[in-house]
Parts: sequence; C-alpha cells; structure tokens
Amino acid sequence: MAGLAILCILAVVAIVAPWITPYDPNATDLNTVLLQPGAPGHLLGTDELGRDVASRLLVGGRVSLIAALQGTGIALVIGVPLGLVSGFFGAWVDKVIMFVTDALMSFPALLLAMAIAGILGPNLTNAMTAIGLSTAPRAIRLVRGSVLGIREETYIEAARSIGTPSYQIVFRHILPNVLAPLVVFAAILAGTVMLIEAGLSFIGLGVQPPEASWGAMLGSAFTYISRSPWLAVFPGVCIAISVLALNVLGDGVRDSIGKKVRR
Amino acid sequence: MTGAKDPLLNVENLRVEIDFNGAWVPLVDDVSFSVKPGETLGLVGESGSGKSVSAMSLMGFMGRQRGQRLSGTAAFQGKDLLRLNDRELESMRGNEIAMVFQEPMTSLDPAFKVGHQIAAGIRVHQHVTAAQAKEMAIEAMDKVRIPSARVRADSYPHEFSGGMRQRVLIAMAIANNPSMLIADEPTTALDVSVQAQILALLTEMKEDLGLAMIFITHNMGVVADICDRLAVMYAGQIVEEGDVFETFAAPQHPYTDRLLAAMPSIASRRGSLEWIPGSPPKPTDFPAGCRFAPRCRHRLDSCEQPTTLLEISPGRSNRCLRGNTWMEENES
Amino acid sequence: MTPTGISVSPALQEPKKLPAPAKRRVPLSGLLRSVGTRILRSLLLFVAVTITVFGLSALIPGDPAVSLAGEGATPEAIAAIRTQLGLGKPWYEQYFSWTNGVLHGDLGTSFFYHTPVSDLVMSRLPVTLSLALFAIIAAVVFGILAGLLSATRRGRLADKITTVISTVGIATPNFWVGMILLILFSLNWHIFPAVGYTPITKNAGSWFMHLVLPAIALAAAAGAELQRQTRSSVSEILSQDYIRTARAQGLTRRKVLWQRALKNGAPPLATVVGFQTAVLLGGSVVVEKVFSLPGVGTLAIDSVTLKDLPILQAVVLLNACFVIIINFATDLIYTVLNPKVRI
Repeated sequence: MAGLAILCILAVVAIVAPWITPYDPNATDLNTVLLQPGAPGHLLGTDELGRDVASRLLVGGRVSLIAALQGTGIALVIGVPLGLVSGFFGAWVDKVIMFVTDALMSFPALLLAMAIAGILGPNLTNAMTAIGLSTAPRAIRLVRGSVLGIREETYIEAARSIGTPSYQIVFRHILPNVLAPLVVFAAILAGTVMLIEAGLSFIGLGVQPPEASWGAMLGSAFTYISRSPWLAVFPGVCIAISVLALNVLGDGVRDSIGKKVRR
Repeated sequence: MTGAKDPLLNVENLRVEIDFNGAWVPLVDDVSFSVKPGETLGLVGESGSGKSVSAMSLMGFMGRQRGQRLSGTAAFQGKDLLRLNDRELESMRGNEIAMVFQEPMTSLDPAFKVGHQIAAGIRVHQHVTAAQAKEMAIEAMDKVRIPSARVRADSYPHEFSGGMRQRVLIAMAIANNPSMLIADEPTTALDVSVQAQILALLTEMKEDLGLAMIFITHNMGVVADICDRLAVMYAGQIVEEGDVFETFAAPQHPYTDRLLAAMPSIASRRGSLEWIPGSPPKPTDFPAGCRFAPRCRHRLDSCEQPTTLLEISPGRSNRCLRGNTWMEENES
Repeated sequence: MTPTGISVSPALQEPKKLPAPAKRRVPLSGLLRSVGTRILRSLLLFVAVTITVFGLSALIPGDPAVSLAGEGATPEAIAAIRTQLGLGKPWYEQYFSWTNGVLHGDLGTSFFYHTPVSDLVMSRLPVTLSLALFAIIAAVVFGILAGLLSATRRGRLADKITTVISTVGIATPNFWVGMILLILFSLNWHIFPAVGYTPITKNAGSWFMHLVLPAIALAAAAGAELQRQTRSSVSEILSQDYIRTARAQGLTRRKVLWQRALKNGAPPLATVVGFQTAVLLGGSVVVEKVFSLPGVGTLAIDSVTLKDLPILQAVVLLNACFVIIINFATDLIYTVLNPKVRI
C-alpha cells in the first residue's frame, strides 16, 4: 500500500500545486538562468529562462498526472464497452473486434500516438486522445478476457436460463466481476500512459511552452544537457516515482485479489 | 525372514522440523525403522501423519531447505543418507534409491518426450551415449509393459493415460537398477481398475529385480496386497511396527486397531464399519503424552506421559502406554 | 495430501490444477495447417494496417494539401501535394493507388526532401535495426539471467535487489535513462561517444561504442519485464511435481534449471519478448533522438515537425510490419516449443 500512499501525496500536491509554488512557474528572469540546485531562493535551481525548477516541477506534475488520467480515461471509455460486447456476445462481433484490436496492436503505441498527435497538431489534448486511442486495444483485450472467464460461470448460466435480459446480465453480473482486474489494469495503464506522454512531450508533441509537464521539462533540459545536467534529473525522478507508485499499487491490488491480470 | 539378513536401510531417531513463525515444530519425530534387501515395508497413516515427510527426508527433499532441519541417522550401504552432501545425494538418487510419486498426471515434464526423460536419468548415472541411453529407456518401458515402447518413447506425456504415465515413472525409477524403491502413494490418484494393474506391476518388479521397497499408503488393503511388514504412523511418530500378517491378526496399538476396523473387508467380518472420531493433531499442537490419546477410546489418565516405541517381540514394536491391556475392553 | 508433505512455502500449497485430458498428437499436416492459418492472418493484418496508415491522412484538419504544404506555400506546391496524394479522387482509388505503390516499394516522395521516401527510409534502417537488435539481445540475456537468479534465490537478498532494480527499470522512461547515461558516461567520464553513429562497414569498434548507451537505455524496460516474467514462471515451474521427478532421478539443480525449467518457461517468455520488441521499436524513436542517431525514429520525428506525411506513413507502416512479423515468429516459436498447443 506504499504505492497508494505515494499516489495520494502526489495527487494532493498536484491539486494544491498552483497555490504552493514559491515562484510563478512561467515567470522568466534572465538574470538568474541555469542556476545550480541549492542556489539562494531556488532550491532546485533555475532553467534556461531563469524559471524556478521547483515551481515548474510542482505545476508540471499536475499537468502530467491529469494527462495520465485523461489518456487512461479515453482508453477505458473506448475499451471497456467494446471488450464487454466482444466477450459477451462472441461470434462474429467478437471476431471483428478482435481483428481490429490485433491490427491496432501491431503499431507500437508510442509511434501511433506520435503519428496521430503529429497530424492532429501538437497540443496536450490531441496527445492524450492519441495515447488513449493507441492503448485502448489493451483495455479491450483485458475486459474481453475477464468476461470470457466469467461468462461460463454457473450463476451466469442460471441468470440466462431464467430469462434475464442480456443488458441486465452484463451490468448486474459481469461488469462487477470485471471491475477488480480492471482496477489493476487501469493503475498499470496509467503508468504506461504517463511514460508515453513523457515521450511525446519530450519530442514537443505534448504540452506547449511555456506550460510545463515533466516530459516537456526533460525536452528543454536536453538542449542544455552538457551545461546544466541537473535539469534532466528531477523531472525524470518524478516520472519514475509516479509510474513506480502506479505499478506497485496495481501489483498490490492484484496480489490482494489473488487474480492474474496480464500486464 | 526375521534376522536372516542385515538391513539395507536402517533409520534411527529421524526427526524433521520446520520453522513455524520462529519456533521449531516437529513434523516427524522419533522415527526408526529398517528395511532388509528385497523386503517391502508399508508406511501407513492418515494424511499429515509424516509418512511422506519421512520418505522425502531420506531422498533429501525435506529437512535441507532453509527453515527446515533434520536429525537422526539413516544408514544405507555404509552411508548416512541424512548427512550426504548435494553431490553425493544426486549420485544416490535414481541410482541406488529411486522414487515413484503419487501424481502421475503432473510428475512427468510436459515439454519433453518420455523416452528422453527416462534416458536423461540413465545418462546421469551411467557413462553411455545418448543413443545407448535411449535404447535402455525403451528397454525399461518394455519391462513395465508399455505397449510398442519404441514408438511411445517419442510421445509426450499428455499423450499417455494416467496408468501409462505411472508406468513411465516406474520405468524411470527402475532404469538404473536401484536397490531400493520408495513408492509414495503410487496408486492413490488412479482409477480402481488401474490401481490393481500398477500394484501387480510393482510386485513383479520387486520380485524380478530383488528391490527393497518402502510403500507409502493410507490404504490398509494395499498394504495387505504388497507389503511384508508395516509401520503405522500417527502424528509424526510410528505407533506400531510388525509383520503384516501378525499385525492384521492382532493389532497391538489402538490406532492400528481402529484403522483396521475402518477397512470395509475387515469391518464386514466384525459386523460394522467403524470410524475414528475427531481428527489428527496439527504439528503445532502435538500432545506431550500419547498423541493418539485425545481420540482413543481406551485412554487413561496415565496416557498423558511421554511414549516410546517398545519392542514387544522380535520384529514387533508398540508405542501404546497400556501395552496390549486395552484389548480386553474391546471385547465388551 | 500434497506429495511434498508439509511444506513451508505457501506457493507449494496451492490447489492442484486438474490435469488436462490426454490428447493424441496432431500429425505434421495439422502443424502445417496451423502455420498456414497464421500466415493468412498475418496477411489480413497487413491489409488492415495499410488501411489504418492510409487513414491517418483523414485526420488532417482542414484541407490536407493546404495544411501539409505549410504556411506561405505557393499554389504550385499545394497543387503538387494535391496531385501526389490523389486528392479529389474517391478515397478508395486513393487507397488502392497508394497500396499499389507500397507493394512495389514506392512509398511516395518526401514533401521536404523531394526524394523517394523508400530511399530515405532504407538509408536510415540499418541504424535502427542495429540499435533494436542490440537492445533486444541485451534485454533477453540480462533479463532472463536476472530472472533465473531471482527465481532460484526467491526471497533472498539477491532476489530482492534484482526485483527492486527491475521494478524501477519498468517505471523509468527509456529516454531519460538515456539522458542520465549520456550525462554520466559521455559528458562526465568520456567513456562512450555522446552522439552520432558510425556504420559497421566503416568501423565496427566505433559502431559498437556508439550503440552501447542507447541500447542499454532501450533495453532497460524490456529487460526488466523479462526479469519479472522469468522470475514468476520459472519459480512456478520449479515448484512443479515434474521437477521433483527429475531431481529424484539424480539430475542436478543446474541441469534442471537450464534444461527443464527454461524449456517449460520458454513459451510465455517468447510472448513477452515479442511484445517487448514492439514496445522497444516504438521507444527507439525517442532514444534515437537523445543520442542523435540518424535512424528511422529521428526521421519520423523530423517528418512530424516538417509535416512530411509520406515519410511518417512509411515509418509507421514499416514498424507495424515488423511487429506483425515478430508476432508471427513468436506464435511459431510458441507452437514449436509447446507440444500441447499443436492444434
């Protein structure tokens, strides 16, 4: 449950970030550019435009976490209904959905997201839509797999045999049982989404300047990597800790419900 | 057959303990028995009585891992099995002592052809080429009556039925001509009709090859079929040991008596099928005195004292604190 | 009772799975047929992938030609793009002429470089393939070794350390690992060159040195995933009855691990390797950028910046084809390794 604790802290920080930043995260000060961490007044130093790194990390974290939520949300909104339909109705519906899923899974998620985001135009909403679309097939597969496991259970047969309508079986019996593996999956997917978002923002397809996200901060830090290597350290550590917390949370939930869910 | 030959295996004061939340708990305690060449000893008891644990510790599968410990001796051909190092243990396993397990369905490696699996065990102990080992494997399969062994050697385990798989496991066990075979409930997981065939095969093997055998079972009927002597285990200890005929005719320990009374064939002779009320104690709460006392209908206050396995006549021992005085109560 | 008697490990006390019913072996023709089905499926997937890649152009907001030509483009440039994309014709005609080109190795002409896209991609491909191959080999070797180490020392210090490292490895962005490696090994200690690439045909040593850091960065996550998979499947296999049978035959711990456990664990590992190769191909895009490797990934990033649609489509299509081929190979390996799957 260490994962949950870290996530709660991150969430609280993300929510209150705009009010606790020591400086305006976008305020440039060309007199204090590329200050080392520990410089007076700037705990983690300043970036190439003299902006306070600590403040940008706080606000950037908010952006990164919201982005992860968005991307995961889109993937689930697309994936859960299709997975339910595919698993529950089977037959040709299942075949078609699974074929499309397989086709989409032939694209490396990062590359597909990059292409979609690049074509739609660089901004965070487009990037998260692209990531959601690229990772939705995984959600479809997971939900379908869980449904297939449950569909053959005796109580579903029983419900069917007394004439319960399909939508009622899905919502009253199947969905609640899919929920547990879905929570695990969502946590781990959120971590993956965060990593993809960091990659997209790094190459300039995510949040646009002067706004910050951890990935975008790494992107601009890269330009100054030989002069100010420390700029590259903190955002990466923040991403790693967040993704780690999500993964640990997912694994913890999985272990506690004792079910196997594929990553 | 008493005293005619020196024992092949002589186990004394075997004790196997596991670390249970920081305390050492004995699974098996004060176990002593011996097996002569060519003799079959039945190790009988309920689940958890320690019969498998005893056998596993002889093979080095119990008592050596972290959180487990062993004491006592197990003299076998001039060596103490409990004190072999890893290399000695590996050269003994499958070579001098072989083992057949309870679950034929899961005891064969699904990813390798059965001929290969038998041959692998041969090549560990004998300096032969792969082709020779394969021939020897086919021979062993022939010996355990697997039809068209040469073809079947190239099949995977999932292409065999349970009984055939147990035959493969027996072929594996006898492939290196061991002097002793430990069979751990080899028929329990099989269909009744197949059980009889496997028992017949084991009997044939031990007679043809002069194998000594430790036969672990909870089934008294199987003991009567295949064993020369038996040792009855209860809660980690041997409570009675003796010749099968003598013991069946006149059990010395109340637990053995109850076990026999629970056998349908004997029960019909006595008039009623009986069972033993209660359940065996867990290793964490073995009673200090007689471990069977809480379930024994002949219990006296004196049964709270520690027990020892006493020899009552050559080859027969009994752990009951009341000796055989409890028998009179049985008649009434 | 469990055949091991009473065991301290809770893993051994899990209920036994019901044994599968015995099946007759499917003859070779069945194997061939299943390979045939898989080839057909891969071809269908290829068609679906071309449709998807072609469909990307439909996502372009506004008039594609104007949008792709960029601001301040001459009407001639816009008209040229309109002609190349076949805009104005029905979409299916556009698709078929595009696919026809693809099948003949014609991936269009770059808007920016004005050279055939296939030439551009082919000149960049060796870089990316070197990197990906390097990385996947590193991930497989180190991931499986670390997983075996963990599985055989479960719960002990070596297992705990390895598992912590892999848990962190999975959570770390690969390009950030690259940046940190770059800072430490190139900028600080000058052990490896920071950026650039030398073809293996020119100087194998230099080729190797340029690829070490990016390959490590790229391999980290895949290796970590493989460590986890190896650890869980091998430790499950080691607790199986058939491993005890092999040990009872006198087989050494080492033999049992390297022959029995590895072969039994190989099918799920092959699946993970397949999936991770796909992830790795995607990840190589950003890692190439960090190390300024002139590979397909860098080309793709540039094409996004330059709105060079034909290049972007070609790169995406190429990667998807690699993934389809890898998945096909994985399936095949799975079938060959697992005697029961031959249906």
